Parts: sequence; C-alpha cells; structure tokens
Amino acid sequence: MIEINNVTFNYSTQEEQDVPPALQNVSLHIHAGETIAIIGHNGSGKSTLTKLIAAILAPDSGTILVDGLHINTDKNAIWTIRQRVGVVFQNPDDQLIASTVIDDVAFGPENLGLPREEIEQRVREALDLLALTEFAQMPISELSVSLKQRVAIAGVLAMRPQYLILDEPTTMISGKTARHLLETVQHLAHERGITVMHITHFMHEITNFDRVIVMDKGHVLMDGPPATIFARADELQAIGLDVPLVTHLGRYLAAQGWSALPNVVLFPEQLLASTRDYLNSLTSTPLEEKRSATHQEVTRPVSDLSAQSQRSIEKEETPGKSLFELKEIFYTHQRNTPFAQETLRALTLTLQAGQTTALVGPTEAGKSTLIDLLAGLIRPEAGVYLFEGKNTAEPSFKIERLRSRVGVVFQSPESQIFEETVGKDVSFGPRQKNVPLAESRRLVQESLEAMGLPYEDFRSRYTYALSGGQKRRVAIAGVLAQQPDVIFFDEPMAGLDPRGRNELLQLISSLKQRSNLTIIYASCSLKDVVELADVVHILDHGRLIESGTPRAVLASAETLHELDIALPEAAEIALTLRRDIPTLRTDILDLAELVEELQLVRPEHQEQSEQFEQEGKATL
Amino acid sequence: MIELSRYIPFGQYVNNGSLVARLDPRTKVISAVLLITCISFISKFSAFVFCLIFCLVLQQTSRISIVYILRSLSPLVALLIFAFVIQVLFYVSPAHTPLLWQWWVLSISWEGIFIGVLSILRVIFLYYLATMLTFTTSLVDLTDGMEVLLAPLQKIGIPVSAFIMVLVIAFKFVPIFVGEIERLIKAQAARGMNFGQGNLAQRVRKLMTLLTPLFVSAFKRMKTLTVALEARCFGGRPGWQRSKRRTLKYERIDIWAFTLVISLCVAAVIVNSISPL
Repeated sequence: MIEINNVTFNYSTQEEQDVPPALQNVSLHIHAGETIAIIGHNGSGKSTLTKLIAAILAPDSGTILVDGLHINTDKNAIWTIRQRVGVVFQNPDDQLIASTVIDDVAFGPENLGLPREEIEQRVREALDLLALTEFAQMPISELSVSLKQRVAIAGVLAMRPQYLILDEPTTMISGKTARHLLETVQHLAHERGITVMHITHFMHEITNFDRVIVMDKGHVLMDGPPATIFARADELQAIGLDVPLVTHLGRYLAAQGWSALPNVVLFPEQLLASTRDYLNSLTSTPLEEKRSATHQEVTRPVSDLSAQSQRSIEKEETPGKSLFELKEIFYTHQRNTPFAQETLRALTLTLQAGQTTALVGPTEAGKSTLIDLLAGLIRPEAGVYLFEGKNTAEPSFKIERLRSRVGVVFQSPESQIFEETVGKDVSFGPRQKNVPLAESRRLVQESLEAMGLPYEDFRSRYTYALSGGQKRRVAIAGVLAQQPDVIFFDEPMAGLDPRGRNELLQLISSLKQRSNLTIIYASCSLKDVVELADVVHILDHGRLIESGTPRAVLASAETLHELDIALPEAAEIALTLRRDIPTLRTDILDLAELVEELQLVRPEHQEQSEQFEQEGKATL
Repeated sequence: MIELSRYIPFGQYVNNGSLVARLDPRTKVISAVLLITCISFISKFSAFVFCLIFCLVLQQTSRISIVYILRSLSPLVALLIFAFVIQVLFYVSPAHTPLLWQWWVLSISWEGIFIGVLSILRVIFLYYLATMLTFTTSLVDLTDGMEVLLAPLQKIGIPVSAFIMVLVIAFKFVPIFVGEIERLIKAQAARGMNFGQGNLAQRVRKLMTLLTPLFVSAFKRMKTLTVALEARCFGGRPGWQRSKRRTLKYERIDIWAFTLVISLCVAAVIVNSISPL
C-alpha cells in the first residue's frame, strides 16, 4: 500500500518565480492491485506526484510510505522503493538504455545485482508477458514507437515491481496499438496483482479502471470510480476536462427516452441493453429497409448531410488545378545500405490547389517521406513528380522555386526552432529571401498574430523559455512568414493534451479561410482531420489504400481500424456496436450523427406497446 | 538529397548473423589491436598483400556489401589525396636518389611516391578494420568485451564500468542526434536556407545555427535519461555492484580466428623483413 500524507512539493525554480507549489497538501491511499487512472491538464501535478511516489523526488513536507518504507528509513530504502515502483515515461527514446531489446530488459535486474540465472528468468518472463520474445535480439533503434513502448514496460516489469506507473504512454501511439497496450496493463493488474497508475489525457481510455483521480493545480480534485467521476461532467468541463463521448451519448439517449440505460454509460456495450430485445426480433425487419423508410418519410439531418457529402464529391469532380501530381513514385530510405527500407511504393496521387488534404496512415506508412518529397527535400528514386504540371526531374526545373512556394511544419515542430528570439526565428524565412526590413517586420507581426501570439509581447522573447504549445505556434508562424502557397503539417498534434489540441486545431482551421492556401495535413488519426479535410488519402506501407471525403473513407471503418488508424470517437463507438448491430453505419462524424443513427435502431414499436400496457394498467 | 544517416555508418551494427558477427567481442577487439599494430609496423608492399588477402577473407565472411563500406570511405577521399600530394611533394629524399621533378623545396621522387602510397594504404586498411569492427560487433558486445579486457584497471582504482556506461549512452545517442540534425537541416532548407551555397565561412556559419537547438535538445534528453536511469535503480550507492546477464564465452571458432590473425601478423612481419619491396 502507498500512503501519501499531506504532501507538498515545489520545484526550486518555481519558488523563485513565486508560483504556487506543484503539489499542495495531497493525501492519498493507494491499495495493492488497484488500477488507477490519473487525469488532469499539463501542470496539474500528475507527473510530480508519480516522481514522488517513485522516490525520484523527495517531498518538501508531508510523508510518503511505500509498503511502510519511507525514503529516510535507511540508506537502502530509496532503492527498494525504486525497485517496487516502476515508471514508464512518455517517450521511450529517453528511457531505453541498451542497444538491443533483450539487453535493455535485463538492465534493471542487472542494476539490482541479481545472479545471472535469476536475470535470465526474469527477462524471459517479461519478454513473454509483453509478446516481445521474437524481437529479443532486435536493435532498439529499428523498432517502432509502440514496440519501444512495450520494451520500456518489459524493462520495468523485469524488476518485479508492485506498482507500475505509466506516464502518458499513449500520447506517442494511437488507435489499436494504444488499446492493446492498455489491455496488457489491465491484464497485468488482474493476473499479477500489480497496482497500475496510468496518467493520461484521454478519457475514453480509463472507463474500465477501478479508480480515477482528477488533479488540478496541484490538488486532488476528485477521487472515485469512473462512474462517479463521469457523473460530474459539469465540474470536469469547468477545469477543461471532459467525459468520454459514450457518456455524453448515454445522456442524450436517456433524454430521448431510452430505457434501461445506466446513469453513467461507460462502455458502448451498455447502450445495447435497451435495444437487445428489439435486436432479437430484428431478423424480420432488416435495418436497411427501416432506414430507407425513415429517409423517405422525413427530411432528417442525415439526408441533409448526405446532400452535403454529395456536394463535396461534386467539388472533387470539378477539375480543379492539380498542384502536385505523383505517378508511380518509389522511395527507399537509406538506399544502398544494409538498413535500406522501402518507404514509398508505386504511389500515384494528385493533390488539388486550394483544398485541404489529409494524408492518414499508421506509423511507417510513408507520410513523412511523402511530405519531404512533395516539399522538394528529397527526390524520388523512380516515378514522375509533377509540380503545377512541370516535371521536377527536368534540369530546367528549379527545386528552390518549389521550396519557396511551400512551407513545412515538421513533426514535433518545437524542435525546428533554431534562433534565439521569437522575432528572429519567425523572420528567418523572409531574411533568407532578402525581404526589405519593413516588409519582413509586417510579415512577422501578421504571422505571429495569426497564431494568436501578440507581436509586441512575443517578438523579443527567448525561444527556449516558451511553453511547448507556444513553441509549436512560433514554428508555424515561422512557416507562415514565408508566405507559402502550400503548408504541410506533419503530425502537428502529437504529444499535446486535449486543450492544446483544440487550440491548435482552431488555429489551423482559421488558416483554411485564407484564400489560395493549400493545406496538407499528415496524421495517424482520422480524429484530427474529419472536421478539417476536404479529401483524405489513406496510406499504408508506402501505398495508397483509399481516397475520398472523410465520410466516404469512414464507411470502411473496419479496414481503417485494422490498419491501426485512430477513428473519431463517434465512429469508434459505432464500430464497436456493429458487432451486435451489423447494419449500423460507421461513416459518422460526430455525436449528433451517432444519436441520429442509433435512433433508427431504437425499439419504437416495443416501447409503444409497453406504453399501451402501462396505460392499460393505469386505466385498470 | 538530405539524408545524413546514409552517410554516417559510424557505430552502425549490421546484424546479419555472419561468422564474424558471432565471434566473441574480445577476440575481435584483440585481433583488431594486433592487426592495427601490425599494419602500422609493416612497410613493404609484399606484406600488405598478406593483409589484403586477409581483408578479402574477412569481407567474404562478414557478408556486408563492399560498396557500402567503400562509400562510407568517400568523404575521406579528398583528404587522402591531399595528404598524398603533400607527402610526395615535401618528401626529403636521401642525397643520391634521382628526382623526377624539382622546384624550390618541392620535389617528386619515386621513393616519395612509394612512401606516399604506403601511408595511404595504411590509412585505408586501418579505416577498414575499425569500420568492420563496428559493423560486425554490436555496441553491447563491444562494450562488454572492453569492460572485461580493461577489468584489471578497475583494480587499480580506474572506474572502468562507469566509463563504459558513458560510452554506451554516448553511442546510443549517435543515431538519435543524426536524426535530429537531419530534421533541423530539413527545417532550414524548407525555410529557404541553401546549405550548398556560399563560401566556406558562410557554410560554416550556416552549420553553426544547428548547434544551439541541438545542445538544447541534448540537455533536455540527458535530464530525462538521468531520471530514467535512477528509476531503474542505476546509481552509485555504497557497495553497489551491477551483475551481468550476458557471459562471454570463447568458442572453437575464436581460437581459429586468433590463430589466423596471429599467423598472419607473424607472416607479414617476416615477409616485411626479408622482402626487398
């Protein structure tokens, strides 16, 4: 058991700046075998709390007891605590030490000075638990992020901890992979009795945890089972958090008169309770017929929407100006080396000017390579690349001209800032072009302000002192100041919390309003792009799988799910429900549409008959 | 165009399960040291022929593409040619040797060319051996091997284990930093910077802009890594002793390899002392 009593902690730098402590009078009891989710915004004290528990930090006041051990009990207590409390950090690259999988997993036990046979056994067990045995001899640098994440967990498990802390492990991975990871973690808790503390921003991940702790500004705001916490939706929203979409859905449906729903819906399956009887009788009237009947009867928003999607299809069909045209493009990363990897295979793709296009695919689908290629940073190995109808391979084609027309916001854009001050960094592009000073200043001001950063306030700030979100915006402003006709965004949301995501999404959407600006947005999640994109191209292993409007693409949600692409939550729920309601559509963009679609499944007749019965009883 | 990792083979281990890759790292480290000493010593072409034959055998058994290794040498070619020219021109030949050409202190003689070619050969062989060692030996193997070989130093109070850990971590960051530099260069190129243009000073200045962001990110990573190391119970506490999962074991093949290397060195030295050329 972990007992935290009245703990306060302050980072020394914060003290100087007169900022309230990172943690203030926190008291918690954590029991063996519990699964606990800790939620809260960046800076709410979640990570500080876990570092205190793992004896990496020591509290300023108050006490923390891990199985009765206190940091000061004796000189070895700190190491015993660190062995019992395992921590998996956000970025696996920062915590994997050895160069092969098996050696990294052995690193912890080796530090404990265990005998060789014992280490062997623990390593084998940990690899087995995380299904890593076949990767044991692989070099870590060749693994995908999600595999690295699993290695990091295995490395911690090999130390046989009682408590496992996962610090935002799902911000770097998505979709199916993230779900697998959480399933493994749940399994560990139930089979091995390990206490799991999972820090996250994503509410839908934590519905099956035993306990949820909500942190805000260094305090524990709420503490209880998910159903209790998510019943307090208004309070959560007040601090910028939210409840899972499925909980919202449950509330809507209950308001629409669905019966037999729990007060707080946590799983899509719970929605089925009130439709099950009806579903059993469904064989007689297939849903499709019913749907078409409803469509003819009333003009529902659904049909409005289908009209809308028709419009966008028309828009697509009108021959727009094709800006980029790729024909049978091949590209191999690290070509002619033993590490060669084919990243683009026979890719044929046309991107229109003025449209917002999304390139969606799992990791290693070739999105980043494609962006580098389109932006003229690398040349195709084979195939034809036309920019505005001109072949880029022709000697007369100036690659600098292409580069000056496009701007790229790379993955983790904060690391692409290279100047000391914000003003200097944003003006980098104009300075390279020798734009006159007054004009350059105007561009910097305009770009910063378009990103919601007041010019006077920010221009002379040091770039390294900015927050992560601000850095991202400065990086985007730097690209805007180049006045590009095309902007590429490569996974701009990765690693941001929901609040940061929403802000950035709004800023990017506002760029759409600019005339003549073509936006190309790469992501491993359809979630980010459904509202933004006119056209979506699905990529996998360097090949084009599918193209269409977000809605059209969502119709094959099952395939996307298999490809490890994160779907919008509403579509995800629809996909889960489809297991029981096979006719349910998955091309659903938001909650309203899902409610709409589910209404079609609603057991109206049955309810009516129930109503009659009740009325009958009443009259009797 | 911008793909640094293609040109930096340093520390890249090619895990192809070849015979050379499977050798005990101690065998490889000691052999490399022996061969390097031998190559520094010999000064006759005939002795180099022995080394060439050995390298061909090594190349064949390692199953690594020769093209790849030669390309990794390409950045050095200009330097080698420069060194060769300087060495030939400034070679001071003994009094009676006939000169092919002479001007002021510069001269060309057959002997100068001979010595120049020998040094170039030496550098290429040394480069080849060092590269082959990193290509066929994983970092862990290499550091494990070195730790065992240097263990006697631990007894006289030199912190070998700590030193080796620093090496492991430094090597671990090589590919990560290469990736980071690549990204920064791409970011600058995308914003209108042209690295290929300008005189040397301008180019150097352009590269300097990469340093600040690289250092900032390096420090940040180091900070997180320290926490990660501590969380995994790595750290100096009184009486702390790490143990090892891996054990190094000499196999029969190691003995064969050793015999081959030693006999080659002996043969090369003998040939070197009796052969005229």
